[in-house]
Amino acid sequence: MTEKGRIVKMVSQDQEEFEVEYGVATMSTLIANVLQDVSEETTTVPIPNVNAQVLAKVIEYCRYHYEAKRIDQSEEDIERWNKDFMKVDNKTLFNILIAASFLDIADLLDLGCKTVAGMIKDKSVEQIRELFCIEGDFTEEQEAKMREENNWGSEMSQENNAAQ
Amino acid sequence: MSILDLNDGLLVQVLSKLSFANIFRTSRCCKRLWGLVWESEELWYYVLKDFLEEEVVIRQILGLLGSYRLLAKFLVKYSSLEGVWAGDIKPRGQLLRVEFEDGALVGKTYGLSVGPRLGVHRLINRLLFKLEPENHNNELKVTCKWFRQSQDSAGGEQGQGSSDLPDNDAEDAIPEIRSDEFTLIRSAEEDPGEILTNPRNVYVRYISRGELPPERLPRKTTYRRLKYEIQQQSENPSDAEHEDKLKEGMYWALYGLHGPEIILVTYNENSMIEGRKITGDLNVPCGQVSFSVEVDCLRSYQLPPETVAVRQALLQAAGDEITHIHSGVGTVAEEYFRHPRLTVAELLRFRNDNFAVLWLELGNPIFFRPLKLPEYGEVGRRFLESMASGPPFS
Repeated sequence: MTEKGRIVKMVSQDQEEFEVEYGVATMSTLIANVLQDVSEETTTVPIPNVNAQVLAKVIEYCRYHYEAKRIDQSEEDIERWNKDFMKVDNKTLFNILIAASFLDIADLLDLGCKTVAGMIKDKSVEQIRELFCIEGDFTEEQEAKMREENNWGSEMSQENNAAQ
Repeated sequence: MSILDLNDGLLVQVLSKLSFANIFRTSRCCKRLWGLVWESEELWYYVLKDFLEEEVVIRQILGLLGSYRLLAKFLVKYSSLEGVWAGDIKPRGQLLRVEFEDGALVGKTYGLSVGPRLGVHRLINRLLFKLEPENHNNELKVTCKWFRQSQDSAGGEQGQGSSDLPDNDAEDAIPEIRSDEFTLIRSAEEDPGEILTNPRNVYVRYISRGELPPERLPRKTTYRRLKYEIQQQSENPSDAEHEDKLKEGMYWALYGLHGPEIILVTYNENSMIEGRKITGDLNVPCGQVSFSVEVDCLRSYQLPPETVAVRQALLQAAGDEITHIHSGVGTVAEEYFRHPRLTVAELLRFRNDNFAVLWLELGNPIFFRPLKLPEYGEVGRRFLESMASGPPFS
């Protein structure tokens, strides 16, 4: 069987099956490695810790980028598509990040991290806490240490204070 | 679902895409984020990775510290020291440049030695201090080492007279760094005693021999960043008018027996071209305006030939042809800047970037030439820029 026509069956945590072209599936370094190690007849790869909704999203990403590379899509178009692709709720976003990290898809991981970073950018401590449901849990001692670390580069922390 | 459901590795990768100010704020959200930022190495490894590949100096510092976190701390805290500064040690002043070298931040003072022939000059420098980072029980410790000027090298010893000796017992510090100003504090004042009491001595004994004269170093010196617009070499011929401007920047001139002095030429808010002394002398000390002329000028061809001829004659053998004349004022004063006053002066510009200032009252023109310090890595600037920039989109 040639790699071109080869179909890989990915099975999500909740046992949903996705049939994906070989080239698309192997954008995940993990899957590429798995497929290298097994005989050609094997086509089913279980993805035990990614659910169907997230896996569908990840496959959508891989498919687009596989195609985009093939037809030499322009940078701007890809960037626009990426931006739209990342317009998801926090939960999905974090899950995509975890999946990208597990499946070892470097570009998607990078895109996800940048997206989360973009959400944090220029927000105050309180806003970040609210955005990501984080509870402040510092002790007195740590608060003091924090003020000390505040001396790291006076200018940058000034900027920091101003933004709050 | 919270961002805290991500594992440490992922959180670090997210953080590494942020600017320093944003990393700092995020770290204050909770203990776990705090720990990832300030108590572990991984984030700083990612942040510094590319930078380390490019910069040998930074790798040297990493070698000394053995910690990405402490390296980042050193860079964040001290990088803004890099650059060119004017020290306020009256009357002479100091031109200081701070750069990364051999695993430390070093400060060198610059001056000129002037040979017997006009225009023959050499840039000389002396090591003033070294800021050395150190890993002290997993915390960053930075020591400021002074380099004493050797007291007298007149004994006929050959080679560079001013050998630099580290002053190890000094407890010195740089308490506060702002982007445009910092203060150096020494444990003791250093006073060689003879400075500028007799300019002729200083000139003959030191400057003409290619040494910087000893200088008084007070306990506390404030340095201000030298700011001027650096003009890019324009490839576009339509920018000719822009090129026609006298360039902002550092220039040097021989102020008679006071020896070479360094000035900063800038365009000030009153649309005047201002020459302010970075290093000065007993009469007009550092920090004072030496001359100030109008931006609007007359081209030499717009003037009657006699007018130009008289000035050209004053320039004697300099061989430079006057192209523009700016009128304005120049500062004169008695010793110790007593009775300072402004007298009529003219700035005569030549084809190259050189110019002369003619104090009409004094008669003799003073020739100014651009001062170029040796190029350096600008490692700190690039680090701060990379740390200040945020993620590519939000």
